[in-house]
Amino acid sequence: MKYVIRFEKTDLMVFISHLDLQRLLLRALRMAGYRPAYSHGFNPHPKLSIALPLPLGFSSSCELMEVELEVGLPGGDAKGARSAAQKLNEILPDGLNILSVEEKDERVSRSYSALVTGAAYEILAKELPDLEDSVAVFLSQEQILAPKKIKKTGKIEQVDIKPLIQEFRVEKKWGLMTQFACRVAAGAKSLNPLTLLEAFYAHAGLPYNPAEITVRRTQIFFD
Amino acid sequence: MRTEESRAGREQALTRLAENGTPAHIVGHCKQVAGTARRIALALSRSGLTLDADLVERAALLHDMVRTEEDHAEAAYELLKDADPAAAEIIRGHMTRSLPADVRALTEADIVSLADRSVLEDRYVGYRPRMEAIARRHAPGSEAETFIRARIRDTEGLLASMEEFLGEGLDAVASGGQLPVRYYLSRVERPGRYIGNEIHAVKKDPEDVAIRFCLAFPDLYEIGMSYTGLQILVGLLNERADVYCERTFAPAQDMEDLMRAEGFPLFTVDTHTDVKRMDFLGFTLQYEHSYSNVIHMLNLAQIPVRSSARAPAGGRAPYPLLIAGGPCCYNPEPLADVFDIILIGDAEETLPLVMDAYARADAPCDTAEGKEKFLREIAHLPGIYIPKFYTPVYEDGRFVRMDKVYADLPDRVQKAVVVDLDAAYFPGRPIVPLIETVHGRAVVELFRGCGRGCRFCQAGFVYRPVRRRSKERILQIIDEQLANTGYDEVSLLSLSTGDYPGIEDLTCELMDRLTPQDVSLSLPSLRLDSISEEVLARIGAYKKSGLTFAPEAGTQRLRDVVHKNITEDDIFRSVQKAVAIGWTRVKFYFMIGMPTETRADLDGIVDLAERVCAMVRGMQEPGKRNFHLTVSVSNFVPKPNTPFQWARANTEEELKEKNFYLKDRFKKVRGVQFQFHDTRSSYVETMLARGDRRTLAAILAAVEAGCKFDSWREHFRYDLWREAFEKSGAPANLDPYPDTDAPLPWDVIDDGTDKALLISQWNKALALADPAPQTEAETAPETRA
Ligand code: SF4
Repeated sequence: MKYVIRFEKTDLMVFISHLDLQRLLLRALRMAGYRPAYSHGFNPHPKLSIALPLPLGFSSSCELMEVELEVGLPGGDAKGARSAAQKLNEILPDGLNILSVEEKDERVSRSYSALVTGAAYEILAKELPDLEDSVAVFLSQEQILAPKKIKKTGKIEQVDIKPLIQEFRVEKKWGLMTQFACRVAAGAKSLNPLTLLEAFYAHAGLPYNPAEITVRRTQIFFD
Repeated sequence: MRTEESRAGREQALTRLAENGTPAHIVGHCKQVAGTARRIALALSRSGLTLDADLVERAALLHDMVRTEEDHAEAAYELLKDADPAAAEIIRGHMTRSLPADVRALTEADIVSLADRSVLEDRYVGYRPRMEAIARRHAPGSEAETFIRARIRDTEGLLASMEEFLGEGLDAVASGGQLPVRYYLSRVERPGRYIGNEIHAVKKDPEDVAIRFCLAFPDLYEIGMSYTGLQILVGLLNERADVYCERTFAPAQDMEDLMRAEGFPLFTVDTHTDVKRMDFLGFTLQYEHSYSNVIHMLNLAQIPVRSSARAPAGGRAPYPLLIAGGPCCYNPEPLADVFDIILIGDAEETLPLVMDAYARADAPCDTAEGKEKFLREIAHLPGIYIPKFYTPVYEDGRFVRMDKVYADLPDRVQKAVVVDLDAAYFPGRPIVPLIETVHGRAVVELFRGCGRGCRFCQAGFVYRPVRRRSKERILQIIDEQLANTGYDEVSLLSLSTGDYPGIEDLTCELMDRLTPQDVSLSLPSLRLDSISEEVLARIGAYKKSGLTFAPEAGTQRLRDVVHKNITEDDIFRSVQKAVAIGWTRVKFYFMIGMPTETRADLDGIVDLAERVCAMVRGMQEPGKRNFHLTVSVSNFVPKPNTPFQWARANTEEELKEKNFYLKDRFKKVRGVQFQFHDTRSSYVETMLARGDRRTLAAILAAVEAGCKFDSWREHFRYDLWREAFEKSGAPANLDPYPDTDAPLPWDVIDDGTDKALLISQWNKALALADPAPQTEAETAPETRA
């Protein structure tokens, strides 16, 4: 039986990597008494996958994981799912919060990770001057170049990220903070929102210090 | 201790924030201001002012509740004035309030303002730095800048009078020793090492406990968290309502660089508190190669290394009591001048007694007299060594005796022993690390101690007597741990696992139970000879890893010298058995450099391996031969409290020559893989293991020169260690006590084994020395081309 589990990753848990998180969720499922199904073959691995890896340091309110269990949730349907969410939350550390557990829609045959097209992020940065104009100028460029490490060669090359930007704007000012909203491609072709932000800072002539920036993923878009 | 009302008030304020939809970063700021304000209010109350810390906390939690509004203070007032009028009133004025000049005039409202102006986002930074930063945001000379600077000046008097009134720095009080570690985590690798927050990590409010304890493991988080002893002690201490036990580990290089650059000291992973603020800092000493890291971590913690430099001052204890435990404490002398308290034997027995005494005495270490009295009191408990009460005396550079500072102290400190393992604490809910560690698996200790008595083996002697856990209890612990951790591997822990009575029964039952749960079983140090064919077959079918076997020496003569009760027959029979049922990988462990060893013993190792291989070849059909034998050779290090403690240690050159000799010979043996250990590392281990109090000078010099993480091959610096010993003038302890009657620096520790027994065992070993006169080639081996 396949399930879709939605969860938040916040607070200190933003410092846990994708692989560590997978292992942790697997353990939590086992602790809750569920038996994740394993693949067959020489090196069996649990059938558990997170739709879109979250970069270390980002928080998220919209993570999604798929898991196949040997035995369906007791109590069936909605009630079993609710109590599963509750059970998992009692086990998981602060900063991981299960929002919902649902049976996977049978009509969705592919895995969610294969269906990702984009993701939306909220970026909170140190107080900045008024930026609306600079954002407009930045986005109106013919090309937006940013450094990218080419996997095959390991070399850094300048690539045009403009086609990968779906949205980028200043959303709000919080006294000392400026909040950006952005939506970028993810999945087959993807863009890290910090690459976008760094390119923008460079273009606007602002000093870029990643330690003063926090990023939260707010939505994942699927095909 | 918080009252119920206080707790409820805090909960209610937090609920209000959540319901109001206040954004996370503002909630983070509010929580930090609230904590800061509460700590200031509590400290001032303790010093005699009448302040309502709960009110201060509530108001601070809600002070920026509606930060999004134009005049947020007024807006929050309107929202709260009916529900919590006192807090609402404080919040209304928090932006504009000017502070009084004298500490005695401070109100709850002033404290909230002061705390707010000391916190940047969710970090405590201190009043002056925070205000300076605000001033710098305005144009120099502007009205706003002038106004803020005037305010900073006006507050100088208040801050000074507060420090005087409190008797300590305001920053320490206000921050509660909490460091802004979190802010730096995005800049280091594997930040999960530093965040605590694991499943089953206990969280307590520091305000609720009398004693704050920090257990320190002198290596990386990944190493320390795989060590069962640490899990036992953290669990045991946190079961007590009056103790909050946190953890710290040696930071990796990138974190260390940040700590130095940003000027923040060693912190606990659980709450990021400065370890200096703890009541106790307890190190576990598992191996001599961690000594440098102990000193290194104390340096990072900004704690003076020598206990004599950590006296109470101004009615306060500026540093925690330093406490050590673990197998290295059977010779506590190299680090004796560092620690206030050293636990000898099973710490499960002694630590609770120390906690009890400390709690009874109520902050005993705030004065020099109190500390002395407390240490004197516990010095009479079994298993507790207070090094500063014992003064070693040297004559002509040799240790001659130990003088006691007080006549009523015991002459020798008896080790503490857990008698009943079934009744002893063992964690059923161990902390489950969030990041990958060396071992992520359920662990249960089958028995403690080992009855074999190999003469080189310190663990074999100091962990006596053998104490066994019942099968029922073992199964219960495993069930509990698996249910509470989700691990998919179980490991059985003890010195010589195969010696557990009923080991076959136990392993079979475990395999039956674990397989359906997708859990595997790992069996370290299983000796072939003690396992029946049937069980071997089952283990083999279950897990196709190799079998290990430790003959230790290549000839029967030397095996008798070391008292290893294995005959060649045993070895051949066991290998035959294993191969017959399909095992293909076997590993032999040997040791070189042992007393009375000659070239013949080295040849014996090669010979034995060759004959084992030949036997297996005879069993297998040509073309189907798939047998792999690994021969692993380690270097003998004479250890205190063993019959071999009087042995001469081989020099580094001798060990190296022997290793190369074997390597050369094994080149010609087909099907055997030969492994050997770093001789330089063993050599330094020898110098430290038999050290006395003078050894500390060498350790300090080595750390000064940059030694740390000595158990990591890539960090170990032999040259620096040699230099440190030479420069400091500390004896190298290579050939120290040929005379068994002479007193030993660690005689002050009574590990339960009679010294007379060790002497007689040593003499028995020596009597077995090869009577044949050694040939020239044996004593001075040919130089290698
Ligand atoms: S070497 Fe092993 S078998 Fe021998 S005494 Fe030590 S632990 Fe026991």
